[in-house]
Amino acid sequence: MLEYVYIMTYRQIKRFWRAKSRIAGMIINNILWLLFFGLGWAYTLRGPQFQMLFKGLDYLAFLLPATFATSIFQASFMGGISVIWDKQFGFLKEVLVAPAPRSLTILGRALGDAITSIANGLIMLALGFVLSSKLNPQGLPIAIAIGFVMAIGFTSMGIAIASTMRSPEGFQLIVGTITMPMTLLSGSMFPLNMVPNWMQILALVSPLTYAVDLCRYYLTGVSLLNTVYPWLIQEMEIVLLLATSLILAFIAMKMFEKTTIE
Amino acid sequence: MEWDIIVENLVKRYGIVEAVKGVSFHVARGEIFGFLGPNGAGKTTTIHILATLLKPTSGKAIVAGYDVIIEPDKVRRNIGVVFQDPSLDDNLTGYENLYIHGRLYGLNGQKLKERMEEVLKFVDLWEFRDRVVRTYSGGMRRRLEIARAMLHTPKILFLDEPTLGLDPQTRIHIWEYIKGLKRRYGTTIFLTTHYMEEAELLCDRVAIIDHGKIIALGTSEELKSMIGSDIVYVKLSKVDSDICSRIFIEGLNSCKIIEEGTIALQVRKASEAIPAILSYLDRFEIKVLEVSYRRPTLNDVFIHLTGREMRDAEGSHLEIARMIHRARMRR
Repeated sequence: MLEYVYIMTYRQIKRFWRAKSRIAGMIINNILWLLFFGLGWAYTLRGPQFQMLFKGLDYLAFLLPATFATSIFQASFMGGISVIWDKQFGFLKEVLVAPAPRSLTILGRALGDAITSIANGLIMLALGFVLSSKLNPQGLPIAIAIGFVMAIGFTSMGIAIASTMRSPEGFQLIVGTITMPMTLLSGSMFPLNMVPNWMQILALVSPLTYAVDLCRYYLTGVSLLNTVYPWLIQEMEIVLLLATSLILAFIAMKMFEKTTIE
Repeated sequence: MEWDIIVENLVKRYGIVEAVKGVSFHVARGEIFGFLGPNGAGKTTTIHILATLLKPTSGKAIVAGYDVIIEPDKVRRNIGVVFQDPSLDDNLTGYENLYIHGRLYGLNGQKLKERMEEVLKFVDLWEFRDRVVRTYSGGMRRRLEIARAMLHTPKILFLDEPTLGLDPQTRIHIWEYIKGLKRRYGTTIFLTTHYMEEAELLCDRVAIIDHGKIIALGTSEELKSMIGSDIVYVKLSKVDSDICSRIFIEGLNSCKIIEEGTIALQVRKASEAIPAILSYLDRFEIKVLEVSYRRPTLNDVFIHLTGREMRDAEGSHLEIARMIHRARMRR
């Protein structure tokens, strides 16, 4: 059974690795974003009054762990587009006509895309360690684990949506309309403590919010979400994140089983 | 006789459109069986049903001894499919494409390695195995797809338009490989095509399909004998309008004057009719400039059965769109 999961993981990673220009583009993108957005705001928000706002962190230490989570989110969600490419370039038929159970091949796919998204996030985080001395390397293993759980969830979400679509353009549109608000609402770039109540509630619906808060907690020791909701302890966040990812993975498996060729 | 494919009254409906309208046929073990028909006749739909990718609306299909609806997994294990449109992963090498396929079919280790070497050598791609598929030519891709479909030693191989969009020379090569499969491995092959020559040269038996129905089935000799005649063309120095009424030979079905002083005679057997025709013309002192004859082709059979050319029946713009699409993929 696991061999079917393995082989699709192998394929996704191999493909990712073969696209050197895409990897280079990704790294350059990350560097530029961190430099201009991160350093820009870090210099603007200097001073003790802002440290209060970030519960003792400076802006870079506040931003960097969250960027690890959001970059994994964006990369993994976007990964679903490969299902559409495979539909267009025909490889999907090859997988559908094979005796390997579809739910397992799609799981392998999600796994492969999750791993490549984490690679993406780790590049971002490596830059983070260069830019800031406030990050705690001991929190890295658990941060990666959290990144992995959310990557599985969001890759599955991408795959589930992609299974129903025909054109990459349509998928891109959906990705655009979902990732932007989710990234902003996750509390990755600004703390959620001050935002209007309705926005906080919306933020709580999105699993990315928990992932961002957890990564921040384990890499800097500070959680901002539990100042708003004291009952939201880390264990609770982990359970919520895990549950969402499992549900999304299950939905993706079911949706993909129904995929047909036109 | 052992049947590898049994299809009874197969129907596939998309909304109100009936793509396959009650098709029935049997394919024997080790046979090359062809579906010949224009585009949109229902060939690909039938292959997709037999390959378990589509569910039929009604009817029955048994492939390799298993029902495609009840036991699709067992069917999948026993068949190899080469789709009409490319289905390779362009960003991987030929070897990697085969490796993934093998693992998806439960092969691994030394066994998989041996199989990969065998099929790659069979289609003469062994030395190109480590090149990324994007750099392959159209013919190489087709061969790789055939190799891939044969990797797990299927009992039955499905080929959907195996030489569509290939140049004539490459097409002849692919035919050689397909014939080789039958010779060497005894694989049962079901193929679809809209090329007459392909059906004639490759297939043991041909089913002519049009508008979702089989309109004739048999060996290409049997099909051609439905028309039962050769056509003899005689070019003359001068043609009288009553010339046809003056020729009486055995087995003459029809005689027509066609352009440029040429008459066309439909006869049972050209080799016997030609001397008789010549002696008649000699008697009338009409000078013969040229004689030629043509055996009926499957195209003539199609015209005979449907009243139109297979080429006319095609959606030509569709075909062009597909070629452009394929050309893009091959870039």
